[in-house]
Amino acid sequence: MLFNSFEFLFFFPLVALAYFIMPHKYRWLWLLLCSYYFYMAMQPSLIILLMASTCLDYFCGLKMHEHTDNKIRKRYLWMSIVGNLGMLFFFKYFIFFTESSKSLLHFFGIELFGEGGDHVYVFNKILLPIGISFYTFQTLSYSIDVYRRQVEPLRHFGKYALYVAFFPQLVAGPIERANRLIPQFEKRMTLDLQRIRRGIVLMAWGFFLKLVVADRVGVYVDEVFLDPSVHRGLPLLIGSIFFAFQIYFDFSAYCTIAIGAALVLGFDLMQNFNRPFFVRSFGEFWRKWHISLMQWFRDYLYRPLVRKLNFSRGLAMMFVFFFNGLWHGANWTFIVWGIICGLFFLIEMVTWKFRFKVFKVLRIPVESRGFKVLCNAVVFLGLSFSLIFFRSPTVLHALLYIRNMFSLDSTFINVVHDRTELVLSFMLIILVQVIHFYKGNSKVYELLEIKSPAIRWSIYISFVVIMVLFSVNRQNNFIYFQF
Amino acid sequence: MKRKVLIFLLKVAFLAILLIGVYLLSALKLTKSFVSDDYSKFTHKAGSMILGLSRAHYAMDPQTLEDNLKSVDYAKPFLNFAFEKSQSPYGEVYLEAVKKKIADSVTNGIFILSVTPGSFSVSNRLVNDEDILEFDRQMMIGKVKDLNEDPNLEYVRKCFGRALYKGIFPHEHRLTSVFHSNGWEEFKLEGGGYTITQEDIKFWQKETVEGYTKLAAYIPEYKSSYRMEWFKKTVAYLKTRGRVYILRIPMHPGILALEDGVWPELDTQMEAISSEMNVPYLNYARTGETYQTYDGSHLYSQSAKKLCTEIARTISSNILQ
Repeated sequence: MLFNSFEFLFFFPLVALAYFIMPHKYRWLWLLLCSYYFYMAMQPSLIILLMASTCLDYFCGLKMHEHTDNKIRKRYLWMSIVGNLGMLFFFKYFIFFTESSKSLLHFFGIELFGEGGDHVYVFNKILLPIGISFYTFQTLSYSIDVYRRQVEPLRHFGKYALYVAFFPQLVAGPIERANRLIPQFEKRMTLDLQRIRRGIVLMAWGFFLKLVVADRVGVYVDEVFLDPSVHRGLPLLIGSIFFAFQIYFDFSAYCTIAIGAALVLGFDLMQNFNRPFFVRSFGEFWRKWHISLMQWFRDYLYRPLVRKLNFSRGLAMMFVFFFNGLWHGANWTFIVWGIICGLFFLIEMVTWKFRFKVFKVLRIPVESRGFKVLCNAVVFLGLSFSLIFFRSPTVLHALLYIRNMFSLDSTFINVVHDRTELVLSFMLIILVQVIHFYKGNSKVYELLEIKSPAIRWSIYISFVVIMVLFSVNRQNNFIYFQF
Repeated sequence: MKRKVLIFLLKVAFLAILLIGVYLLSALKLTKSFVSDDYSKFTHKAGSMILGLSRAHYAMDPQTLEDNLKSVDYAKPFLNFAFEKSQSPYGEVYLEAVKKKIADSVTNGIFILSVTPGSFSVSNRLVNDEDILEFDRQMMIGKVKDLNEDPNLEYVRKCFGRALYKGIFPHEHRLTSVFHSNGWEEFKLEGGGYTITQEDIKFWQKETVEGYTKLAAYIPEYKSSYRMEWFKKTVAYLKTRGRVYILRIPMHPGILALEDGVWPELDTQMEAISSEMNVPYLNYARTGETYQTYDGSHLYSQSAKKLCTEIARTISSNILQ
């Protein structure tokens, strides 16, 4: 079920009402059933995979706890890793790797599978299970944490299943750690109206970001990325900048709705974004963007590479960015995007001492507001540039886009069918950025905690009217659903 | 506490009702103005119909047909139920939609089925009949269940891909297009203070030929036996509801050369179906010099009316024979 569907509009209030009416001891079961229903509304048969992943890690967790012999414990850890990553590989990357190997072998004159490639048609029928990258990473983190004895395994199978399938964050995160989310299932959630109000405000803000801003900006982005050969210069530059905003608003909208929905029910999910477009360096950006995934990579990939396998920090970082790209999708475009981001990060890391010396010699006031804005702009433009690969269907398509973007004979004629919408997009981007600058997504409800009921209700009513009139009715999936 | 909860729930309910109310009001307001190119095809039942893709959407004017078929007894009203390529290729979904559109009592309708290679082509991504059916279900005529509701709020909800404020502040559409309630989009060379010159037309025609060539390379397609089978089923069904005519609309010679390149046997196949199913095949494909397109593929107003007059004459002589 999509958050931005009519079904969810009925589903969520029903879930919440019944949840609070129900005695505490049955609430986990209610949430679990609702979470499975939520998933099955999209892909009924693929619930099997979610359940398989749940069973595997539940079993491995208990077994790791049961044994003291590290060899045996490690065996169960590997069972969990191979099981989860194997599933992820088969459903998400199999066709990509087969096709890439085939092309590579073809380059060397070796034909795989003979002519025709009928196997591809067979495997093309494999559906990509929604949210598989998220829930496999979440269950993996559980197994690794149990192995490291950082968390106790959960004995209650139902509650463990709920930890994996909790519907607000099931299909696109945030990727929650066991020690944060599981204890909350034990808490007796009260009917705290202040908390519920805040949750609803967060959800409403998420819907605004998705339906009014991200989808509107996306209309222009779709147009320019559809065929970059017909555009030149400025329209393509605007397209790449718009896409950076679109993906941010779209994904942060999803997370804000998820956090808001969980908050209504009494759960506190982690923040996935912390004003990532107000940063001075790529390093800072990656600490504030898709925080749950980057922390996952830090804890389960980067640190083991550096501490156990003695990788240099730079090389380990490149690995992280390579896998970050690959995690997003089975396409060379994502890998190239990951590598570009890694290179930006690496260049920044390697040259920072030198840069500061230069700034000192040139007497550039690095703490001045102007310099900070300049750094911010550089990071943002670098990110927008890398995202051209993220958005393009092929690497060649992205290269064509970049080549034409640097062309000087730009014209808007082919792109702008509706100037009102374009102007509205610019205004909304600025408005949201101003709000984010002062409050961020997580504290946006503070804007509405005004004493005067008249003002507060005027804002509520205006917001409802704006939502209805200005939402773009495209019924688009959230971008991160595909991952 | 109970009182507080009740007040809270009332407040939430008030906002929910406000949301639904504003939505319904603005959607209704929108349906009173211009919704989209295709909205009028979803608001009423028809006695006679034109089926096909965008070429028929632009070329077939039901009013001109009605004006020139006065001597013939047939079911009215005439509706142009042709859509752009991705929205109405022949298939199960299109046939089901057609069945819903025809008024129950109709047994003497006139059904003109326009054919182009696009009507029978399928993207290489769609491997079998199930894939094609699934793809077709995502088309407007697959998504909207009620095709004869006025106002059609289901259409607004599922197919109006813009914001509802457009209903309050009338939104932009092509200045030179007129959208008729019988489903025809009339493309004029002048409108809203804008004039389309012969240079524009030449440029667009060149762009279309290049665009079609590029599209064929970007999104390769194959001739689908599924579509052909359902075309025949559509003809067979419509024969039970009236008279059926297969039509190939004129186009720019450059486009015709392209179509002949990818599907040289289309005319022969249509002639075979025509004689097999005993329905006339009206082939105007090679009359591109007589009828003018604005972009190589789609006829503009005068030519569309001229073609419809000619077709009406042929149909009435066929019926009155």
